Order: sequence, then structure tokens, then C-alpha cells
Amino acid sequence: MMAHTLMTAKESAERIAKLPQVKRWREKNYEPGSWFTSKPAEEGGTWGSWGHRFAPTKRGMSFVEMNRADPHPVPEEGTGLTVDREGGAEPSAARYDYPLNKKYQVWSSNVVGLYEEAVSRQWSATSDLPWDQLEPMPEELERAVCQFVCFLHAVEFIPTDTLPYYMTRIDPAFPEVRLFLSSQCADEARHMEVFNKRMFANGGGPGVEPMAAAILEFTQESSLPRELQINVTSDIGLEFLAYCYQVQMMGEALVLDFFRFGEFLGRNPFDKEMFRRIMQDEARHVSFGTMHMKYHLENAPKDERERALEMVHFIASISEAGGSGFSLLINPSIIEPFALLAAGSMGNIERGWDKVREFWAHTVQAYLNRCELAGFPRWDKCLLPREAPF
Amino acid sequence: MNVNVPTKFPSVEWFQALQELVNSQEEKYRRLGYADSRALFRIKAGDGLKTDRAFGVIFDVYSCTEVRDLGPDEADAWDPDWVLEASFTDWKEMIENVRAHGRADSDHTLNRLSLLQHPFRIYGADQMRVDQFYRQQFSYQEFIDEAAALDTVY
Repeated sequence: MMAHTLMTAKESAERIAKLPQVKRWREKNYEPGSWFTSKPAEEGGTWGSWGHRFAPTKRGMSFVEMNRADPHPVPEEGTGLTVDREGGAEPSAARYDYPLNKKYQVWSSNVVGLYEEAVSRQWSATSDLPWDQLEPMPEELERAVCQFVCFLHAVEFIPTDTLPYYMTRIDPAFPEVRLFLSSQCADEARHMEVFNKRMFANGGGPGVEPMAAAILEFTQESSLPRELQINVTSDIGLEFLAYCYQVQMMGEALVLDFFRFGEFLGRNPFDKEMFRRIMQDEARHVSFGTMHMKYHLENAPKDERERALEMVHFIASISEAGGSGFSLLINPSIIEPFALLAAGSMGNIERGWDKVREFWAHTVQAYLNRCELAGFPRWDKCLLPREAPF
Repeated sequence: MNVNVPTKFPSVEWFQALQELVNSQEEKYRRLGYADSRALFRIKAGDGLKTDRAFGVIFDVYSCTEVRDLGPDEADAWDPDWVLEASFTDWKEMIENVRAHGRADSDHTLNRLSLLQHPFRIYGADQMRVDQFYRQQFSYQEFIDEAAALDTVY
């Protein structure tokens, strides 16, 4: 074990006492520093901006209305300062090299409203669900619920494991994006919690490892053509765009459809309400991912936009061909319990598979609608069969 | 509002009755979170209903601020975020189910009825605006579930 020989407590106290501001305060000189007298930046000072006033609306103090009322627009580029985007700084202030520092790299037109909506629609897995209304189910159905939920529990690890990586790389000039991604992490953690509790609540238990990580099996280095590998791996903006496609726009949209079907198939008030709550959260994440892609593709510099579009189509093709996220649609440990839940019993399993076929067609259609909305229509490019291939 | 007075469906009075029930329970809707939509509820003719009917409802934060009976030429101009559409027969079945159980049972929730686009259909011009229906579904389900308190006649 390393000995702590940096300095003694006495030496530390002496060092602090010698600091200029501490000396000044010890001498009873309480004259405030430059923060107290500096003028706003637009008058040449180091203070940020001044004179803001905002009264709460019926939503409360909402960023949506505050930003709308603020005469200073969201900047196109961050400064690397760890201060509010309208804050000031001494010339000596540290500037950090946040790699996601351009607005088009992180923004979406709806991120501010989505964050406020997320805050207003938070809920507790412990106390906001009618756990007392869980009803005993036939063993085969409880087994199917547990296996399905076991998959959903695992899939929640993906964004919580990966989102913080990007959050820490976003310039503080765009706090709304960081806040929204934080709310998404909170959502995903709650989903993980509720699925975990559900598995243990009604006579069943956690099932078989469902290979949910297939969504992340896609790696840019191994999947992209060489010329795009260089562009993407050296450009975190494109990397984040690829991530938004893979996780938020495609992966979570697919999971959103699973949740919607979970509500559809739920046979007791608890399962219905659990999926309805989760569905609301997941729809926000998909909405952000889709609209961020649209913002990036519309606002990136022209040459980057072209590269981004090429990259997005390429990774979409990989995914659609079953190379990553869409492989969930043909994963037996997910789709078979899903079919059994739709059937209601093994005796009716054919009917369940008919529902799965409807699910497939619905999911592909919703995905194609989103691709168009995000600015990369795939109507004539999509490699996914429109109808279930079984 | 006297909920014991029979209220005809479809009618603007029926949707206004739901509106009143929502607005008298702000705390309940506050707990559910913001709901912001221009919604259009469409009832297709048939089963005794002679013409299609459409009602525009505005949800704003925790309240329901407007209900309008929209004529055949007004529905598109209403610019809804989402449209919830079904036959008169299917609307009746849903409302009667809500009345019978105090809220929609497992087979009659909005998501259950609309997911496969039958018997209800949810659509709109812009998928992101339609997604509000999913993002805020608890609030819209509660809105419909308020029909449990109404003596609905047809």
C-alpha cells in the first residue's frame, strides 16, 4: 500500500492560509472579487449576461418557454467552458476540448420539450404500479412473461451502459441535451428495476439469457467500409449519429413496439399498466433519436452531411439484414414467448404466431416511417422483409 | 356537471362532459404529467349513425381546454397531432366496456384497440406528432376512462 506522504495536516493548513484570498479574508478585507463588479460580456466585462427575468407559467419554470423568451439563441458551437452558455469567464478560465461541441452534432428540435415532459412524467417502479393487482397465471404464461421480461431487463443495460459515454463529451453549451440523456438514463434504470421486480413477483423467475446485446454487436470498425471507418472513428459527431440510429431510432423503436405489444398482450391490470408506463418513456427516447438524426442531416456542413447520409444508409442495411438490432425479431428466446403470450396458451399457438406476423409488418412500417422523417427514406432500400418470413 | 343525466354519443356534449371531468381533477392529471395534443376523435358512420362525426379536443398541460364539433370540411383544417378513428359500433363497445368496469378492461385499452390499426386506427400527418399519443398515453386513457362516470346513450 502506498504511504500518504504528500504533506502533514499542519503543512496543509499553512499552505491554505497563504493563499491570497484567504490572507485577505484573515485580514478582514471582505471586498468581493471581480465577479461583483464586472460588466456583462457584451459591455466588455467577464460577467455573462444580466437582466433575465421569467415568471412561471402553468407548467412551472419550463426550459421551453424560458428559451423562447431568451433573446440569445442556442449557439452553433460551444466554447468548452464549464459555465452556462450565457455565462462569462476570466481570460484564464480553463477551456475543455468537448468533442461534441457543435449544435448539429447533438441537438434535436424537440429536445427541450422532451426533457420537460420526461421530468413531468417520472414514476416509481416501487409505488406507482398496482403490484397488488398482479394475478396468478397459468405456468406456461408466467414462464413466457418471465422470459420476455428477462429479455427486456437485459436490453435496458444497453443505453445505461453507453449513454454516459456520449453525455460526458457534449459541450456544456447544450445542457438540454445532457439533461435529456440523463432523464433517459433514469428511465432505463427504472425499466430495469421494474422488469427485475416483475420476474420475482408472480411465481416465476428470471429465464434464459436472451442475447439482447445483439443490438450492440454491430461495431463500426468491423462493419463499415474502410473509407467510412476512417471518417467515423475520427469524428465523434458521426459516431454519435450512428449510435442514435442504432440505439435510439432503431433499437429503442423496436423495443417500443415490444412494449406496445406487451401492453396489448397483458392479461392483468398490472402488466397492462407496467407496459403503458414504460411505453411512454420509450417513445420519448425514440422521438429524440429520430429528430436528432433529422437535425444532424439537415444542419451538418455539406460534405459531412453526404458522408453521414452514406454511413446511415450503410448501417441501416447491416441492421435490416439481421446483422444487429433487427436480429431481435428472429431471436427464439424473445419471439417464442412473445407468440405464446399472444396465443394465451400452447393450444392456441398458431393464433399467437399470426399476431407475431402482424407485429412484424407493423414494426417494419413504423420503422420506415421514422427513417423518412429522420431524413433518410428507405422505402426502396430496406432489406427487411415487409412481411414476416415465417 | 350532473353525470346522471343521459348524454348522447357521439355529441359535443359527451366530449365536453369528459372535459369537465378532467378539469375538475387537476391533481390527478398533474401526477400523470404534461399532456399536450390537438386530438381528433373520429366516429365512422354505420350501425344507426348516418354520417361520420369528428370532434377536436385540445389537451394543454394538465387540462382539456377546448372541445369542438368539427364538420366534414373542418377536420383537416383542425390540424390534429393525431386522429383516433373507429366505427360507431367499436366506439360503443369501448364506451360500454369502460362504463361496465369503471375503466377500460384488458381488451379495451386505447393501445390494445389501436395497435394493429383495427378496430381503432391511430394516425396523423406527422409520425412525431402521432408519437405524442404514445408518449402521453396514460393521460388520454384516463380521459376516455372518465366515460365510466357518464350515463351514455346512443
